[in-house]
Amino acid sequence: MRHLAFITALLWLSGLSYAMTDPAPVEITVVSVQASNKGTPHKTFSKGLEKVKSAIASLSYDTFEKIGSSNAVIPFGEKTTFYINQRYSLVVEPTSIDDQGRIRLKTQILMQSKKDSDPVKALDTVLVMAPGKHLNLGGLKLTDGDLIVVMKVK
Amino acid sequence: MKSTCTHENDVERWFDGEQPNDPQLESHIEHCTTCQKHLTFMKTCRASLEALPETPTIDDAQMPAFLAGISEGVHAPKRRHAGLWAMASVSAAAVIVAVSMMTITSEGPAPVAADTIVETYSTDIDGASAELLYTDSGTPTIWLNAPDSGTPTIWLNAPEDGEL
Repeated sequence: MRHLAFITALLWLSGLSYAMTDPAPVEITVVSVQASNKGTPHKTFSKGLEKVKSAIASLSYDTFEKIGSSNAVIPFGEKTTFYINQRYSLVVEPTSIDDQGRIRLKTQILMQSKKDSDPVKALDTVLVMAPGKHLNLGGLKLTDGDLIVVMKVK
Repeated sequence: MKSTCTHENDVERWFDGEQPNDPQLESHIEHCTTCQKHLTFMKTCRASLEALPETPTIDDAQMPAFLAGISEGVHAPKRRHAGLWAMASVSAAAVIVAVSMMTITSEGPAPVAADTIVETYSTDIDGASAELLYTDSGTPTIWLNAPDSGTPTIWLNAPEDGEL
């Protein structure tokens, strides 16, 4: 009887540990890029865009300059804000994981159109992202070019 | 009522061979039904005893070993399954710990073959629209078409299915 209780306790602890560790928080990488056309004969990519070059190379711009990049580990159900510049920010909230390991995310690019006013949802999306694959959010106006935000989950 | 004869003891001694030659007693037996019955009874008893299986005997030299065997049987502990249970418990615990460690230390699922899906997309900017396109590398791209910039013709690749 004592052994049976011991095994039952171990099974319970195993299940508890499994429940506590699944799902793991989501690691998200965000790279923001300013894309523009400056009349260069070949497409140019600034330093730091090597890993996202394939995701944006076919866009009809000739110059891609990195604005910034950031990594975050986000638990499910929590929102995290990535600051891009004074005008734009990206809000990401992982909500669930499907049976193929894809992460469902709510993402919003907020735009501060006027000082002291509430930001506007420039883009509001629900994504189911496959780990290791890129996704672009773009078309937002910058002073000199357009903003492209490249996202990837691990 | 059982009849008796004063010669019964003599008949017993004669039967046991203690007085083998006694013509007088033998003649008495031939004429005394009581002694005849007693003689028949003794013959039956002897035959029955001889028919019994031989009883093993224990010599004095074997007695210590015999007693030691009894003592061992009396004092030896009963066989229990504690060892079997312990082994089963240890094995189950090892499996559970291994599975738990694999779960805890695993680095999560490998990149999946399934594609990224864009479930919904929209914009709150007045007069703007959002659309879903794909780059040459197949990267899903949600693009904002803002009113101040018009509809940008920035795509090298048009969607093949025309739904975008």
